[in-house]
Amino acid sequence: MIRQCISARIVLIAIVVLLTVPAGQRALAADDTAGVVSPNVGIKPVAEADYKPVVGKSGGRVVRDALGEPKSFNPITAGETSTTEFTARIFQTLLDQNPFTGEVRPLLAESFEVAADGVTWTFHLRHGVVFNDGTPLTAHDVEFTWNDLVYDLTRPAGTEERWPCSDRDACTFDGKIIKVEAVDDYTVRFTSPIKIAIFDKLAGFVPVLSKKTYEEMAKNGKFGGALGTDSKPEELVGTGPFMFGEYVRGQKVILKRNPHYWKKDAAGNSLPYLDILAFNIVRDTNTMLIDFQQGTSDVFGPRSGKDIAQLKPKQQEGNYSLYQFGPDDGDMFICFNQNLDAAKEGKIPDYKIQWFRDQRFRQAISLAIDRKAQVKNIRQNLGYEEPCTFTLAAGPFRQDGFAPRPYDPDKAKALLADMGFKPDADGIMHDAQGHELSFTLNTNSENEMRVQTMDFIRKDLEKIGIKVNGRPLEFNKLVDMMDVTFDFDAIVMGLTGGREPHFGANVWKSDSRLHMWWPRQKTPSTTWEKRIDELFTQGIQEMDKAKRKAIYREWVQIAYDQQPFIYLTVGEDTAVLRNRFGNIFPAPIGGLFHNEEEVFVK
Amino acid sequence: MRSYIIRRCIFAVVLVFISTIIAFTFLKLSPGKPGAADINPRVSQAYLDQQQRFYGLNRSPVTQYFSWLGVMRFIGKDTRGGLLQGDLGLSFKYQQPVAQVLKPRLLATLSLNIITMLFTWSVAVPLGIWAAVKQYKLPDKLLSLCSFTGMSLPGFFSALFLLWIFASHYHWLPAGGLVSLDHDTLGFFPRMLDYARHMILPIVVMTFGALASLQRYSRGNMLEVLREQYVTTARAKGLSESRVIYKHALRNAINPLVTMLGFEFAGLFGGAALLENVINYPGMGQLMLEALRAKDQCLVMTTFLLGSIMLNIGNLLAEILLAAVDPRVSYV
Repeated sequence: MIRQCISARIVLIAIVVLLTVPAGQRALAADDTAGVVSPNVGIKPVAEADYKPVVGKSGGRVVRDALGEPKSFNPITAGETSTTEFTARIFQTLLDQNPFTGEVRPLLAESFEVAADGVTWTFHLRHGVVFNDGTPLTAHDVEFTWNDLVYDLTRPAGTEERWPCSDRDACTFDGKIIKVEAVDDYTVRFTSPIKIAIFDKLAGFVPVLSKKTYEEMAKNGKFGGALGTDSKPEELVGTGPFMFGEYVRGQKVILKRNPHYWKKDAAGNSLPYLDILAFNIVRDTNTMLIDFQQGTSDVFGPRSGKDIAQLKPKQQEGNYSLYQFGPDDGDMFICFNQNLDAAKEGKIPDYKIQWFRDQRFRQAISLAIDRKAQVKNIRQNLGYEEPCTFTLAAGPFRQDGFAPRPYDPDKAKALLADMGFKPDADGIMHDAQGHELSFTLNTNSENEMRVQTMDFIRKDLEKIGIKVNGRPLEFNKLVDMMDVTFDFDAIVMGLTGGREPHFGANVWKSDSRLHMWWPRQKTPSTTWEKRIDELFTQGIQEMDKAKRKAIYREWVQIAYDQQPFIYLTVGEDTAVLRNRFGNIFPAPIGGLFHNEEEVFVK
Repeated sequence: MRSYIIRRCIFAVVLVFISTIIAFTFLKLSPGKPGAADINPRVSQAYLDQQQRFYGLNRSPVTQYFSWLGVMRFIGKDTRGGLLQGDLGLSFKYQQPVAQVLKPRLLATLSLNIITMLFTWSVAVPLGIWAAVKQYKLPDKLLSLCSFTGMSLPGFFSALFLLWIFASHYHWLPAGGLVSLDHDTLGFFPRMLDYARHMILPIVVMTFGALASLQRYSRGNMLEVLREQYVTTARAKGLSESRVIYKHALRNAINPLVTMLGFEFAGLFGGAALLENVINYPGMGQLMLEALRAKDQCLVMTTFLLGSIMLNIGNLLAEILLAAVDPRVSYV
């Protein structure tokens, strides 16, 4: 699936499915990460300097396939991409992400500055921005969005917030919230309770809603259920280039052109050019491929080299082009259970936990996996061996210089021998107490790539005398094991991280819920986990960009050495798009449609 | 007869009630929880907790069941109604009222099933009779071949095969869905054609599968009847062969099939989950499977409820039909 980058929210909200924002091929060529050679299959991103949109003509539409139904059109309470895919085009944020560099850039706010105290941030709004109902955007709308919608401050005293909001949780620090006030019609002042380096990314990427439209709903508490899937077009009032058209359950979502949109092209014509963005709702990615091949949809994100092999030869006859953006930011890894509490409760044998907690064991497994074979056979050479998280995908925090793990079964055996493992007559390893070295490797059955990867790992490990029992499971059951029962040996999993390391805090901090090897620890169980906790706390407060990057480099180094996640492979991010559109400037991070309002039908 | 039906209905209500308890128990005992599929690192624990509270999933399973039933609302402990109040609850997965989620799916499945049934019955029964009359002759052998092929080919396989040929390779038919994007801008006839293009694949696959067994079934029935003594008597009386078959044998051969029709009614709302998934048909089967996988409580319970009600009605219908066509059967 191709993502655009009207709002960085879409980028930052990461999902498990390995579909993400493209990463930079061009950037890779400039400072080649050790060992990374990108396959050459399609058109590569352009340089930011070459981004020169021309004056286009109005009309036409882009048809896409969307996976799954929208759950609501409420940008404040939404927690899933099936919703934000639409809301990100209807509502806008103060800042957004530069599709070429990943840095923040102005959107509804013309500029912003932070005072010397590091906690007072002032945003200056752009003049002349209007909502799609024609009313002007002012600082009062921003103030309202934060106080009434995000923090729900109009609720009766002493009660809980009346609707869930991820932004609220991200912008609440030890129970303290950000103070937001409109200084004048075009100036908003945010006072943060603590110094936060990524304040611009947190506060700047919250959508701004119309006070006039939603004030009543916020007061009487109906906002949580508002903006549902049965909304009428006039009920979704945002400043985005498109507005809500209609939603037919199980069939389609139509967004139409916002006639009041504030941006103009070079000739003074109002944007966007496209009349309609149409989304066919489909249930699986196979349908998406066929729809693209039939010409029903205009754009498709190939899932693997297999799709590319089908699509590449027919570019001319299908009138489309293939684009490639470099390594995807979706990780795939093995995670071993290190939960001592689970072992205490007898959910997993004690000796196994002892193996899994041993750094040498995880290193041995990592060395015994032939990632090159996986890239070649599973990804049809359209992918990379992944050294660690934040080492491949382009972005301001990519850490260079980490080499992929070599395939070295002998060294793996030596490490195991060092731990006291000895092969028996059949070559199966046994530990010093005589336990056979075998474990169950789980993954979710509907993810074909993970199941194949699991099989490759099983065969690789068999070669050094480890018995692996591969078990594909229903995703829900898998999550239950990770999150509730903790009775697993190891899993093959994936996460998409986005480009901002702090947003991995829910995974890497030892007290977090997605710290998969041992979630919600009261105190970190190892010194390196403790250090990672410290680094994440430091990282969010460090204002200096270079120093911040260095802090996260230490984190990546620890993750690389300790391997709580044994990283495997990532794919090349690719897309196919019909040739009938103008102003397409593929960007390493923003993908194909980062400037959707300027895209036109040729 | 009437008192029998009334008794059966009361019994059915009790049965459905008990079966919902069983279904709910199994749903709760199976691993996983609603919303667990969301392991988005950017969603906080607080968000998830609030969501669980909003859907009442933080309460005890017994309370959740009674809440779904509407008892909690009845005793004033719930703000949202339940089954007793005619409210089917909120779907967790879709964040929409269950009734809204269900309606288009029901229509899609119902139309597919009814058309398939019409096709199957109007073709399979005559074919079966014909095959019986021509037993061991060429038509019978050909039909047997087709039937066995149809019965042994799993629906999803033939669906995939046809999909590959007609959608993926030749691009003649759409890859799924019920209507195309511009459906509502079309006139009446193009609109019907659009429906037809989307439904032809599922109908063909389902008909092919059902046709085979029904044809074999009616052939078997007819053969059995043809061996009866009254048929021999009729032939001995010197009646023409067509009179023997169509006047005497056919009626009795069809009787058991009428009962089957009642049972088929039970399956009207039940979709073919596997097939619907393969050809991406937005019907009940797909919905049920997805709801189960996501552990979408209210949606699972509603589809289950619907299924068990239909099964009871279907059974009753079959019994009534049997009594109506077979004078030997009567209920007191």
